[in-house]
Amino acid sequence: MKRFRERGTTGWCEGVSLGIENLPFEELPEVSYRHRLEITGKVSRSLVEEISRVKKEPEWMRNLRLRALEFFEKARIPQWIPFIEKIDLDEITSLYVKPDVEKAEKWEDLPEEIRRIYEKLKLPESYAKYLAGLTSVLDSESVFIGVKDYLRKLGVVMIPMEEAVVKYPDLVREYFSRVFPYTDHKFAALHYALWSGGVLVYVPRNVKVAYPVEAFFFVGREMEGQFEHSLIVADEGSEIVFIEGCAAPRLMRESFHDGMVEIYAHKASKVSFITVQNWSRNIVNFNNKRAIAEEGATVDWVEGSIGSKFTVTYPSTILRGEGSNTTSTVMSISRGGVVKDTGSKVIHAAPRTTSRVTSKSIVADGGVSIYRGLVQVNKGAKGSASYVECESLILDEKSQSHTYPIVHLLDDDANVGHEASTVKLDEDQVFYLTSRGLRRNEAVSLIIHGFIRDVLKKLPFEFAVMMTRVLDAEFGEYGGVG
Amino acid sequence: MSVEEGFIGDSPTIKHYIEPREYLKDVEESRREGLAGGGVSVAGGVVSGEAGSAWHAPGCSSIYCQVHKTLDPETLVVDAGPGPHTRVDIDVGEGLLPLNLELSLLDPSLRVVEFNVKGSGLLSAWVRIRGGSGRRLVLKLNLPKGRTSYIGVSEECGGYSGERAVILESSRALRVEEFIRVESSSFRVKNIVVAENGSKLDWETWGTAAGDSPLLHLHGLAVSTGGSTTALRGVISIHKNSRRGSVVYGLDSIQLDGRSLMQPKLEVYTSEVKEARHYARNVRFTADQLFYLSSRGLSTREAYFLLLTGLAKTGVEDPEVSSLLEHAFKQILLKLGLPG
Repeated sequence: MKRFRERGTTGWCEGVSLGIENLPFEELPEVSYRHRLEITGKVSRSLVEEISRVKKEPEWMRNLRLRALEFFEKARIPQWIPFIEKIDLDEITSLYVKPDVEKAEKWEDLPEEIRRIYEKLKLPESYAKYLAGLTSVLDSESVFIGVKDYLRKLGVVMIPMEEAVVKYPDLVREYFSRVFPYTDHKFAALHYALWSGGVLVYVPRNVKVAYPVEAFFFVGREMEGQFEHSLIVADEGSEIVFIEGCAAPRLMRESFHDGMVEIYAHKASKVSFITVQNWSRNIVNFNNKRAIAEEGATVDWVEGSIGSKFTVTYPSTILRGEGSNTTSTVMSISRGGVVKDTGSKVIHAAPRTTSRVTSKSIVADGGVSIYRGLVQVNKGAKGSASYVECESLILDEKSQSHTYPIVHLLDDDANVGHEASTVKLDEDQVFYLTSRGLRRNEAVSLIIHGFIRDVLKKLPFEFAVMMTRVLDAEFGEYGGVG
Repeated sequence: MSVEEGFIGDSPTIKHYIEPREYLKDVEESRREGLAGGGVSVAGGVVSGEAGSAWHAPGCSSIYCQVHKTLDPETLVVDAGPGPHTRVDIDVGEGLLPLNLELSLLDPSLRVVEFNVKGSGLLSAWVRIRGGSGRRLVLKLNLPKGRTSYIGVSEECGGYSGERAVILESSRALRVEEFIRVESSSFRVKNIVVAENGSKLDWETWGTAAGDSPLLHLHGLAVSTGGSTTALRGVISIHKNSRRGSVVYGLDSIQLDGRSLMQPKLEVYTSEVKEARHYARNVRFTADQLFYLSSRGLSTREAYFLLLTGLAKTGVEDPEVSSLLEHAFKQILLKLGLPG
């Protein structure tokens, strides 16, 4: 693992190099590999039972799926999602797709055509250099699981979710769907009915994992649904950094991602969850993320939302234990008709809990950026504090930016503030900079970098470098950023 | 789509602070009982029986507003008259009083209009404000304990500027809907709401800034006391054809053993904005602030007053309006027994 000592970098990521500078941000061309099994059709009881049968699940998991299906069928589609009328779930015909490959623990054991995909994504390189563990989900199944000896010796469990259901039934039954129940909303219920793939990570008591682990999700085809489930349980006093990466090749028609992340942070533990969302432009992306933080625990979310057609994700934390805290740093880029409906939710359910949310979004070329956030201080959460700050930069007249904050103060002994602003590319600033000898594109570049500077400082160094490259590519015509 | 369907479900975490079904039940009960209110009387102004133009409620789509329409309300025009102070007594009685009020303020002098509601019956009122250039208005509303009530307020500013402040005290469940449209003009709004005696007060605003250089600054201050709940929420949007608009939507809350809910939503449909920002925060005074002020010679009581009345004036530009608000808010604080 590389180390760096850049001044100004703060927080949990200081000095840790995560090696994600290699993650590509350009869309991959079409990919081709064989499939062993595909379950198609509309969402129904028989389809859900078929998925459960194929996965050889115990009865309790099958029943959970069926209960979720029942709720899904009854629940109304949430009308507040801005593009909901454009989503037709019946169009997503492949609801379970198993690639024709056995799960591998070494890259060379994967078929060449699949290995090539991951090599293009530079995953083998990242795993070798920086990660303590990596699992990769292709369509609906985990195809690679790499756990280094370092992680094994610490006693950390990192295992594909299907295997966890069989090998660690007590652990899975205790935590699965506990943080984010299927009754939460229609798409959560859909996820539980159809879930496949994902990972369970369990960090034992007082174990501090110095190297990050990663789960990478890849959707290879159009008209396909991916419903992976990641569950992270950090026992008392433990620490872990988890990276979630997502990618898909260029597709002619839409595919649908309805993933879920559940984090249970026990007393005095610390979990950092970093998402590098880089779906191609035809992915409809629902990502359900929620954490529970017990006494003195810390949950940090970093959400880098780069790709997809529509994204709906609100990393949420329930601060259940006294003195627990959370931070959420959301950065999104919406360009060319892309809609990013992101935000963060925090429930202060115990005394002296703290939260901080920072959101920066850049919109251009008809993009839509939406911040939708919630801060709730429950009765009895005395001495809690929360600060939310979101900023949007609009680069042209065709784009839109909306902010929908919700603040619920049910206890009068709390300190809560929300601030948001929307700014445009200021021609006066551009003029000033050009009058100092900069070309226009250099001036615009400086302004855009200045806008996201605050957030970049909070990110791991390589993530910041990657975001800079993304800005170069996405907004080159505005200013040849960088 | 039914009225209910249109209203429910517009946000992932929407709460019906005033439950619409309960309200409907209340309206039906009041109707059945057949008790009418005592009517409206005006001091310091003139009231006439019919509105100058057909009554309309822009954006009226909520269940409360739809119900209001079906109640066949009487429409009255209140001309504020030559004096600065107008008092409108509304006797709701024990039954149901549906009412449309058109408030005419055609000259630029500062006007104070006080709506004094009597009786515990259900009030369903729509207030339409028509004003001229440079008008300044302070609206005071006081609702005693009683049935759940509804008030709609609409105001349009096209080509002229103005400033308006509202001080609302309520001891009953109350739903307020406010519609503001600013077209190539400036409009500053300050809403101070005080919920007392365990009541619920839900104030929702829909504002639009359109045209060239529109300015719409809306500041709200909610005070929730004695187990009451205040909800200040709304959407302010900058129209896509607007140029160099300035929009500020700020909410402050003071909780005195009460609950506070805030949702200041902002929609920006163009990059041609001069300023677009919003905030929501609760206000708690720290020992440091009080110590600083007391070290400057103020008593704790004076320091509290200074800080609280400062909040009442936030966002108000006109010195006369500011002074009136300060005085009125001070009276409310004294009535509430604060600061101790």
